[in-house]
Amino acid sequence: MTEPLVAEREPAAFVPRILAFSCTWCSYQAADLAGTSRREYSPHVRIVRVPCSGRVDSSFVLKALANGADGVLITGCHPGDCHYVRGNIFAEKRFERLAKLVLALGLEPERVRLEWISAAEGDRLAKTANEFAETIRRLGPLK
Amino acid sequence: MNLEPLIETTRAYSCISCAKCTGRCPLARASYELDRDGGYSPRAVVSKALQGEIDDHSGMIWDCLTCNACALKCPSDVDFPGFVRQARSKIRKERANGQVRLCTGGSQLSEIANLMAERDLQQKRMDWVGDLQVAVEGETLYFVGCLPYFDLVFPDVVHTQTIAQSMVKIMNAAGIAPVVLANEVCCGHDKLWTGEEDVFKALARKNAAMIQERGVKRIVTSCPECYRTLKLDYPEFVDFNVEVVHSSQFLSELISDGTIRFKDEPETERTVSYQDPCRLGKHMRVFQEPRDVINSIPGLRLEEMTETKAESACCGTSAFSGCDKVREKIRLDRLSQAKSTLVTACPKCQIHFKCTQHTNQTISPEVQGIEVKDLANLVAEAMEAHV
Repeated sequence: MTEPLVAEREPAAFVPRILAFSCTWCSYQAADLAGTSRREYSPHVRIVRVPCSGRVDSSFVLKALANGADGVLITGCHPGDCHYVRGNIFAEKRFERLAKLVLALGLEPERVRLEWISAAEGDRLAKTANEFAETIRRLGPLK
Repeated sequence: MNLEPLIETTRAYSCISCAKCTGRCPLARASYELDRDGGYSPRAVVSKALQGEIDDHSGMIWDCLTCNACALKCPSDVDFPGFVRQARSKIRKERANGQVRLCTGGSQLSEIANLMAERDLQQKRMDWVGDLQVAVEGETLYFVGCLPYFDLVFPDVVHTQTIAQSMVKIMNAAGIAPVVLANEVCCGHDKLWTGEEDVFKALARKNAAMIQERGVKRIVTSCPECYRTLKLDYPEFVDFNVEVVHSSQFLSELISDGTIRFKDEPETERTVSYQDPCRLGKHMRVFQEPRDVINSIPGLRLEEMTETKAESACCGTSAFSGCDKVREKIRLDRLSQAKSTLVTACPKCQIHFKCTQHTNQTISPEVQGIEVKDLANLVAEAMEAHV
């Protein structure tokens, strides 16, 4: 009688891969603040710093999803606070179109999200990141 | 880089440097008019290749429209678009990335195609069907292509969904409920021509499997790029052999055998122009059918532009790549040759012309006012309502 050397392992837990595009003036600062205030948030959220949320072309988000991301978060300054005056307004309009595309492609609309987070809102960034990671974990991997 | 097989398959070795290609090339003409020192030259690309060099930094390989105007003129039968296509795919394989310059809309569509190839999507792309009659299985398939996505990516510019609606409306009137694939993927044309052969093959395999399991005998498509790709490239790359016709051929057939009829002759006559899409005309030599369809519509009179058929310039952009002031110039030249309505048989021509009309600030009111319209829309509007 031989016993298996390695006990059968439980199926690996799903580790969501989440990409965040954060504007350098507000929400990236918020991420720094979250760090310096020792506020923990989901390690599955990886941040790409962009000059402005208005820089985020819809194709960046689609590319991330095509290349393995399970969810994409875009964060920018609150409307009216944009360093470039109207960049976040452009981002919002673009996001509306992106949301329609995501729906037509048959993906869950919750996989992409746009949030306004100011430089003072470290807590809010951490909370948003955790919430989003939980949402994606619940949705499961993008097939 | 070993160019031998490439030179062999495209017959580039027989180039005699006569430069008829450069004389005919729309890109060479427009770029020469803008800047006499620079300019595009297919002949120079081939000459260099024959010396064993491929120059992918000057943009010569990546700028080409692959419109086939040069190949139709070439006395030595060199397949220059084929050369460019294979060179792009070779460069991409060996040096990771080429210099494909996509516009914002084009890069979204490119990523959508990647998503379709990589992921197992269950798309929700059938909104446009509405009350129209479509089937799941049958002999005739309507290949929609990216039309629903064009509307989402270029919402201010075009409504290409109406082309699909018009086509299915016409088919319904002719007693056909075409098969429409709920989960159809991009035909892969742009991927094939920008050097991403692997993505193209993945897409082609998906479509081929879906189409073949529905018992389809004949495919109708409104997009000349889908037409060329399904007809010529699918059989070459994947196991696929189904008859493919373009909507202009299909419409011309229905009109000539009397299946669809038009409303009575209107009192006024309208003069229109026709833009030959490069894939339909110069690649597939379908010149006559779209003209027959236009001429059979009561009240429409086709007046040819100064450059037509094999001599015509294309819309100036293929695979959404490389758009710049040279391409804008090609489009403005075309639009300024056109009468009040410019009829096209390609959704992408329509997007490119309308985009120029929409974004170019220096455009004259006459050119701005030209209506760019698809053949299928014209036919559907002029058709007698069958109950």
